Amino acid sequence: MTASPVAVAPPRRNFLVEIARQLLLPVLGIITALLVGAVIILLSGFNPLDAYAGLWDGSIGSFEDLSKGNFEALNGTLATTTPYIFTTLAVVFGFRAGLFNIGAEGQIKLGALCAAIVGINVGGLSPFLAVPLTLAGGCLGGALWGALPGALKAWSGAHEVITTIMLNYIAGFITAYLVGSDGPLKAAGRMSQSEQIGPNSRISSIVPNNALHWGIIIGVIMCVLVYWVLNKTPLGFEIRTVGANPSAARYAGINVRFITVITMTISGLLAGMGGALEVMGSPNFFYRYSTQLGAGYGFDSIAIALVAKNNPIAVIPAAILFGALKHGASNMQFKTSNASGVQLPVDLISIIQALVILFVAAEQVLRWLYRLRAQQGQELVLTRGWGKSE
Amino acid sequence: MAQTLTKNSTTPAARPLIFWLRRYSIIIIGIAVIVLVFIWRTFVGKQPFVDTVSLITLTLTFSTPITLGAISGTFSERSGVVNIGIEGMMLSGAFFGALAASYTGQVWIGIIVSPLAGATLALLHAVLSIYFRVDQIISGTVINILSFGLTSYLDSLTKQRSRSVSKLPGIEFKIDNLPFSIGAVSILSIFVVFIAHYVLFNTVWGLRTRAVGENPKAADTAGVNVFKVRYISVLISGTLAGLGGMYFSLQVLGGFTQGMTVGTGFIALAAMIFGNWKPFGAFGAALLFGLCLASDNVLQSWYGNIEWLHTFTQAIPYVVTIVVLTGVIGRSRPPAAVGTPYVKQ
Repeated sequence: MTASPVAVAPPRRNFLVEIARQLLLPVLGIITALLVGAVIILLSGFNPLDAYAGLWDGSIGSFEDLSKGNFEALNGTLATTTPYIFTTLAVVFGFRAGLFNIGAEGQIKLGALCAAIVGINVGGLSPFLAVPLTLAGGCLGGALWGALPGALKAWSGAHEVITTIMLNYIAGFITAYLVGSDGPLKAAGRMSQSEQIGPNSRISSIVPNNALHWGIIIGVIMCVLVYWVLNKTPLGFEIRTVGANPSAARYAGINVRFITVITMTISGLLAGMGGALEVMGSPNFFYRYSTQLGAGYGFDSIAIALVAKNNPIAVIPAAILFGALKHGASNMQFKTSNASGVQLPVDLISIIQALVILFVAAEQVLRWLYRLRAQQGQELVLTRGWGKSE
Repeated sequence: MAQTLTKNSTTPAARPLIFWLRRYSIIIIGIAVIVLVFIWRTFVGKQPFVDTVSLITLTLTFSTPITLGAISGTFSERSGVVNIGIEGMMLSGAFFGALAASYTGQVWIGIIVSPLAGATLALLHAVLSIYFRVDQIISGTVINILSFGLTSYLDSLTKQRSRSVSKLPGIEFKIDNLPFSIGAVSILSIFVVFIAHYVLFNTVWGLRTRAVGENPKAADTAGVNVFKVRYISVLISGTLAGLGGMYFSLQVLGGFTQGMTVGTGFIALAAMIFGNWKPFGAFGAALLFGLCLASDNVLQSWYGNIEWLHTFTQAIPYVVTIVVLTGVIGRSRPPAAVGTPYVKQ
């Protein structure tokens, strides 16, 4: 076991010191990204303090609101975070086996669509049947859309970076057609949406009349479950071994093809589950499948996974960070205008996201900036070239 | 001599027919498609000649950004640097070209600004992946997200000034009073194919680039400056990608819209792989994708806007990309050192 790079345990230190050491660089990276973002805001003629105050108020809530017990902004942030947790878990799961799954967008779409189809048809059953069935439908849809690139990779070596992106577009076309102007699933009188799922297939909001639903609790449970599967089970060990060194894994008797397919299937399943929960729980979509659902999640969730350094537990804070950025963006735009009355474009958030990845995932730059020494085994290595992985 | 070397011989005569069929498969498929379309249109009693010419010009037009993107990728990867940021470089090329055209009123300025925008992002990719040795996929992802954010941000900030500019002129001709045109970027892209092939396979520079991509250590020992070669190759890559971006804003649309490159950079990467990291191969693969894209337009003009048919034909290029990757990877061979940062000892 000691020969395998994944099994080398770091020397035991004080638990809190270790946590602080792990957090130092990501926190520093996020601060640096926000500072560079502030420079960009300043250069475009806006006040960065206004912008970040607007972002804070829009994502967490002003101190006034919070002291009055108004958690609307925070609830909105967490509601935005919920699907991100699932799609990011999908990416993390793939990364561990050395698979770069950019297909979360297609997988969440297919998951949501399948959940909607099941939910529309079983909505009359008892909730104890309807909810699990709808969720399972979503998982199945996502899993199939994930298994496809997995199988292609395993048997033909087609690189998953390209196939998953292509499958995102294909999923977009399929779903857009199905709920499009003469699609078979289109709801009467609505644009690009399916019918509502049955009332018994829905899951309730945590706070009544709020976007935040129980899906986030399932998300947190899934984070822990994924951590457990990856780190404490034989399957997880095999996945990590394949990720660390596919040829060593094969010589050790691991079926690399099987692991590739199973990893992508589970990865797709996680994203599909996120899509199903959005349809079942989020009032934003009125319990329908909408073509709006899942747009842009592929690259966003990669960003989050890189920030979380591939750690399933760290996905929770990283997803909340991106959820806050996304949810607070419109308030930031609303509250920030320059001298000539132009509002700060929301797309600044994409720039900040890119900077966050740059400074958190590409640690070398951050270490160079702050003259920090390298720690062993901290670099993320993803590039495998384009050929067969075995 | 021929007797002793037949085992490893590369003389054309020694190669079986299947080799030539495979090497020129794209040309054979292309001619077959053209002939089939001609016969089909004759058979249904339409204008076979006009329809065939229209298919050919559309194919050439639609393949343009894929050709440029694939050759962009070829340059970068031949020197050993994976460039998945082509999509972002194209988008920036599209935006800044249109922006400059809008502010100066001169559409030709795009020819300078678009490649420059691509090259600027490429410089970032080069510094990150060559100097900092950041994982090249992470670096490319940063480029893609940054470019999407930056172009959308500046688009809003400049109050959508780049939304409508005049188009680049092209070669216009008429057949049966029906207008056809081949745009400037499309014509340029064909020259790029020939120049790229010449540079990569007939110059000292090209030999050095390929050597660095296969075995940087050996190249270094032989006195080649690995870092310089990689920096310049990645910059060439960005320049070509920016030029490809110009196609979208200044040749096709006459303006910029957010995220207008719609995954072409990734299709171009597939074309690069399909083309076996060679300019002519990339061109052939790009023409195949161009044909798929053109089929959407052509079928619509023949049969009207049928929703299911449109959905189906829109998805074709993406499906073909997957199929091509599936069938081809085993046979194509990437540069040996691609993706690995070079550390000078």
